[in-house]
Amino acid sequence: MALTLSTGSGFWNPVVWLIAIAVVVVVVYLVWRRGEAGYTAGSAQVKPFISGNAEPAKKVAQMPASNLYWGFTEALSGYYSRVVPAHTGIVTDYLLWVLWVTAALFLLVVIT
Amino acid sequence: MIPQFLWDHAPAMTVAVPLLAAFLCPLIGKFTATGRKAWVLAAAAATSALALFTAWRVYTMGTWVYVFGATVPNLSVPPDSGGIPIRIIFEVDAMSALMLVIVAIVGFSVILYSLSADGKRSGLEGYYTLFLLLIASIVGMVSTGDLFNFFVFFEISGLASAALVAYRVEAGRAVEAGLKYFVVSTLAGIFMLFVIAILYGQYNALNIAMLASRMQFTMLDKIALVLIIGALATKAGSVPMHFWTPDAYALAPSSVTALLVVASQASLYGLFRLIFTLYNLSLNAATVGWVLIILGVLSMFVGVTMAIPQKDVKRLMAYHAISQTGYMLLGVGTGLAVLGNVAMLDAFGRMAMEGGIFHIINHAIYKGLLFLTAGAIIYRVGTRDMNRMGGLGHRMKWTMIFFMIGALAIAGIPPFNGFASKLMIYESVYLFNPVLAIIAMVVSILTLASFVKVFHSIFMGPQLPEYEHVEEAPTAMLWGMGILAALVILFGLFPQQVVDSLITPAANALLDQSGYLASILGGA
Amino acid sequence: MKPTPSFNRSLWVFHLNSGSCNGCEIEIVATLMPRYDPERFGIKLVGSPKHADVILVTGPVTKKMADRVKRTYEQVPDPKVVMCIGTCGESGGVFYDSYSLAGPIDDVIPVDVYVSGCPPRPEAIIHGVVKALAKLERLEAAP
Repeated sequence: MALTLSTGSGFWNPVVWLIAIAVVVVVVYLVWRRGEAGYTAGSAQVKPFISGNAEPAKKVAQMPASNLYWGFTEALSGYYSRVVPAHTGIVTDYLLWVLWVTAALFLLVVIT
Repeated sequence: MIPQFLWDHAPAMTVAVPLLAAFLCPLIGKFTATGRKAWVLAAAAATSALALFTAWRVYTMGTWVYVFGATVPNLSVPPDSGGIPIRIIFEVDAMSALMLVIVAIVGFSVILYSLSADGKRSGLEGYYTLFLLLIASIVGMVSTGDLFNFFVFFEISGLASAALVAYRVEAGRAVEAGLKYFVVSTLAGIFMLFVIAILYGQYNALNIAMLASRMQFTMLDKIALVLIIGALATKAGSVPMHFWTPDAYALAPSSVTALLVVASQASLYGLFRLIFTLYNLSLNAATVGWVLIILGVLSMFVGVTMAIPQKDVKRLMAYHAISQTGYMLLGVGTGLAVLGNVAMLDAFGRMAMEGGIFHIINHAIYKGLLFLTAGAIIYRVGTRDMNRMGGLGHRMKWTMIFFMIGALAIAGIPPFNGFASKLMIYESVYLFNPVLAIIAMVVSILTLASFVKVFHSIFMGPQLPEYEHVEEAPTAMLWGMGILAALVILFGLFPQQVVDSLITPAANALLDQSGYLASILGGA
Repeated sequence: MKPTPSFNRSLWVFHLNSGSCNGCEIEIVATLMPRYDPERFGIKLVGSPKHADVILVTGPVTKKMADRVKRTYEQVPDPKVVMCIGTCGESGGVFYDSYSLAGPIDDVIPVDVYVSGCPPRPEAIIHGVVKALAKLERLEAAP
């Protein structure tokens, strides 16, 4: 039973990979167990350190999904400011896109 | 052991069983609602079994030709017809068999899921009818060897899908999405009708094999080719004709969305079938191949970049579906671009095609899983807006695990199935043109980024007070998701098995036009 | 947590400013620099109290900082040593009758070692650290 996927220029064997990862995880676990806990669970030691300030309420501290990738969308704002308005939501625009692309393909395929 | 009836007629029964069961649904539902659920589940199980049987027979014994209405099921060219196949012929070769496997797996899981997800809504007498009709139309689209028959099933799937998208009438927006989908689908259907008219007018035949043997690639044929690409790429959801996809996928019920993914892939199958089998080397392979590659790269990039800022979870996943369709177009387009050059075809063209085709089945499975998990979350929480969700991992542990499996698979992380097919695409496309492979890898990273965002905002974080009452998804839904998740892991652990038994025959069947012709015309 | 034999070999230090004029901070940084070089003994400055073994508190505790000093002290894992650097922490120093003090440090958190001076010289701070080590060894020896 061949376990290796061979692409033309490489190979990939997931079972061997998993076994290797499992061995590494076991070794890491054994090393980790020799460490010391260093804290008492359940006490104030598990609270986050925010320069000594109290932890804010859960709702206030949570970052909503829309803002998670602000940096990315801001950096690509030149791209997004053109592509997002193109998604107008008007169905006749959708049809126009299909027709324009088909026309462009005409020129490409029929002429060459 | 297997009745002779099935040995002879399984391809037809795979379409007939869901069709008949669909129209009996309202009648049974009039008497008992539980009876209707049992009926639908039984019909889905029967369809999946028949589809798997057909696929198994095709993989082990070669292409299955089934002629409707002939004295013997494989009498494609009757002696008195003058050498022309005259009836509607289903030709199930290895590529069709692969699509049948996809429909079998996803169709059954989705109906199992839908029994509890949509079980409490009203209007169910129409819903399950349309559901089974959609499954029947997808099976028909992928099995048929006749162009007009393909158009008929194409229209049936468009109608059934549009009605299913508009199922949630009370919200209003779903109806608008259904209307948009319907209009775009009708335009694609009209293009297909023009194609049929052009080809029939020129060559006097509707059977794909017959048309392929008579194909001369005149100017009219070029126009037909462009219309085919335009229509079927639109229905498959490739950029820049993808605008209907986020609307329709987001507002449909989640089980329907998972099946819409399979319907889009059936259109993609139609595109590949017509390009490779109808035209094959008569067209300018390099140009058309590059057209598919450009469409693929655009789909990948625009799909994933539009997915990142979304806040509706299903709309985000719909953009990812567009992006992954791009991978399939890239892989198969690369294979098409080197079709004329035998050396390059053997070096990496076949591998690229196998990667693209493997990606079709992988995508159907993990995308279906993702949409089902999104549906489970929406079912429990009541909103699709990710800004209002949070901390659901505390309560919905199984859903979280299934979502993680699906998200890692779509991002192409080992050892799941997405990695296997993406690796094949990367390595072979790299040999064709390194820039394309690099774009594909960047898109993969952005996919991971997007799903990390979704995972964090839905499942991570502290338990929110307004979601204290939320509990795990119902059992039927978990089983539906579980089947798909198990397959994701299985296909990821044993990719070479899957490629050898399912994918390589399919790729060879696409590339080998003469084999297709011989089964209908050469044989009898 | 019981201190292991290697604990004393590397004491990680966290500096907490509870309203100081910054003079003691400069002396603390001077102590850690290559001239006296405590890093060869494994003593290094860390950025989070959760990594620390020794807290160096400077300054008189102002009213606004009292709560935060207490919370930071609670977040340091055991075993910990608190060193008060400078006379501001012992009695208020030159600010002893200010309107904004919450009191000397040992009104807020328990202190183990006092290093007097305004500011104390680096040699005095090192002497304080030696006393802290001695205290830790006593703690370790005791069951």
